[in-house]
Amino acid sequence: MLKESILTLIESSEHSYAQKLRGLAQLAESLLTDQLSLKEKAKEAMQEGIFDDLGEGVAPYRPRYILPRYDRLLKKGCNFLFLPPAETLEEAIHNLLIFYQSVPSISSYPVYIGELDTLLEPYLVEDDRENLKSLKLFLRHIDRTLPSGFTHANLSPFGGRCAKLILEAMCELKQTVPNLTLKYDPEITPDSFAQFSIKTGLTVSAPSFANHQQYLKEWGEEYGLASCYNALPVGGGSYTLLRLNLSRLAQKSSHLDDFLYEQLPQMAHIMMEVMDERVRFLVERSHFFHNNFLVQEGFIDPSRFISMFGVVGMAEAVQHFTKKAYGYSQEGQKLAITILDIIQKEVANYKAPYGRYLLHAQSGISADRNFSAGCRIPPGSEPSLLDHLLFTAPLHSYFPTGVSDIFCFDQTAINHPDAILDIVKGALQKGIRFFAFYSKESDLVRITGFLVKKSDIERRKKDGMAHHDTTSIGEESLINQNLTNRVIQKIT
Amino acid sequence: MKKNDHVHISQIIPFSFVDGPGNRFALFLQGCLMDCPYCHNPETKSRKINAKGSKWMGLDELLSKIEHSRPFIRGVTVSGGEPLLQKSFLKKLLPELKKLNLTAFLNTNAYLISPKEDSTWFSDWDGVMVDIKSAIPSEHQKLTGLPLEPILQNIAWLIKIDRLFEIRTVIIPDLINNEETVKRVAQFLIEQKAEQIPYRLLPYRPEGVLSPYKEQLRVPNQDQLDDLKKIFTLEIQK
Repeated sequence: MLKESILTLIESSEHSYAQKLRGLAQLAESLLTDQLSLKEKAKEAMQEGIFDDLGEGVAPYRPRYILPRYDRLLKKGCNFLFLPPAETLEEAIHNLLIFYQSVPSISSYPVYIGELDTLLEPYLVEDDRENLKSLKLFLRHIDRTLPSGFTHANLSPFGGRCAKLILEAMCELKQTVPNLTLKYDPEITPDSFAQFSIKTGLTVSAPSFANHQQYLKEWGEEYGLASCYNALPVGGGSYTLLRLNLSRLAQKSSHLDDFLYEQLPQMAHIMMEVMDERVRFLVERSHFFHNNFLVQEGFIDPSRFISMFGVVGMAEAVQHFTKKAYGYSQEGQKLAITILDIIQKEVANYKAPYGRYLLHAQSGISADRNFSAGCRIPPGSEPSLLDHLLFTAPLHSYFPTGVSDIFCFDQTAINHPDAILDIVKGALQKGIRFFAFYSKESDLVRITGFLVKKSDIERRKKDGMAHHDTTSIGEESLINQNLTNRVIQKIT
Repeated sequence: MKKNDHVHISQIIPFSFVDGPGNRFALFLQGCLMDCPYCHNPETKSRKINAKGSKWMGLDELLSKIEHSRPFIRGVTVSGGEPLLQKSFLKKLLPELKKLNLTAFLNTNAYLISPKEDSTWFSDWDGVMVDIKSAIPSEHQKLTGLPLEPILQNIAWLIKIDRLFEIRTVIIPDLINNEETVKRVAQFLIEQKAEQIPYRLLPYRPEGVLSPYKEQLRVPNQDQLDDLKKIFTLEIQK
């Protein structure tokens, strides 16, 4: 069967050379099914889809997410890549572009490319026309050579000159890569810049707004938003991410108490034991942390790695027991909180072999059907914006490694960035960690956390192939998760 | 139902982007003095106690609904209908909004303002938005059933107490002399030394308008709106 899969991939007319190469690597890895020591209960649970490893591979040889210290690259250079410290904007940009090629991840492209305005502001020249030109070339290079919607850049909360130029460049380029998040702090970020970010967001579906104050408390200054919306330490990352499917576990349970007090704690433990195996393999057998230059030269520090305990299908699990639409009842919200309290307790009390395990609201994958991402309200059945935010905000507090809600606005919202900013401020105050949004009319659609162009999907249908890895999975998600029916927030 | 300490409401919109600055809780009160044919919410006109679709609400209940929206809104806008038909309730509402740290805006036709009686509380509004339906007295009377002059005097008073936030006019090519209205509003603002007050031209829209007007009146096109803006700008710069 493996041989057939390999041949199918090689003969595919829908995959580019680079996509075939990565696919073949994954298939090779999938041969090693006996390297992790898994208990029978774990194997059964994975076969039933109670939890899964999101295609991370059976013999992990690199951390799932890596967030290097790019500032170190620009200040000190890199011996392995023969790069001196950067002294000009051109050198800074080229050093970063070269370095990015050596930052692995689950997608094989870097999932975090730095807090770009902080990195590049010191190198800006006087003429902003020149700066804009350089930044556009930089961002275009990223889009064409790291063609994955999970490649994620950040902006600091300060809204300075470089940040404004980056947003201007993003508006002109209209690319799905890089994914972009503003670390928003209403006490630091000028309202004018925040409103400009909102207008940019309604034009090109980025940036999203992250709750900087909340993440600062948990991670300190050195944190970054990577991949979809994952909050992780800079100079570190995540070893692995497994996700527990609450919907399937609920269906397997005989009644609510069985689910809450037997199945949940038991399955959480079994899943964490599998995580232990994966982390041990990565650290002790793959030697990534022994011989990779990222570690040797101090771009990452093993002590800054954690692992992510993901959850999906909360909506369906809650609906299974309450028989009420998720997102509309206090009973449903209370049950979701109870479920998260139980899981959090298990995870907090667990001793991981390396690092620690922290909760994550997993955004789903394209193949998911019949259960929703993380704790999200199923697309197409969302209540009013006000009630949506009030329902999900308390759930966000459980996820220090990331959670998000996505809102689709009518295009006329672009005329009211002040009003949207009021909503964002209120949302963050209520505990929303990540506010992502886009306009229905935009060519760029926010999928589960990454962006895809509608026009790229059409082009792929015609040409059979797409440059960006995330185009095909974006198209699949739009269908499988009903994303085209997200409720549109109309302007009144 | 206790009418004395209750307010007669047509509609509540917890999140409104178009009723003043920022995101606002928009409260549309029931009952109006005017009878404009192009009104896009004619259901608010009736002053009957049991007007269709309306309800009466106590202050506590209203405040609890406002509190529900509170972290996400900059303030509350009271509109209608004509909200100043229920002044006694509004006088109780405003201090409560201040306690909640919310701005209070009023959308009114300004006819019912009485500078003598209202001077004690009108400064509690953070901003007043006034609709001038037509700046030609005879046209105004015919369109709304009310004279224009008292409205202009009241707007002048709002300027004096620094509470006028903006003036608006709905542009309807077939019904009012838009060009003349726009010029006269500019002249009025110059006379009042209030050229900085924003003047918004809102295109007529047929949604909600009653027949036969809905079928008869045309929506102005962008060129018409742009021309009127140019006329206003030229006039205000004189």
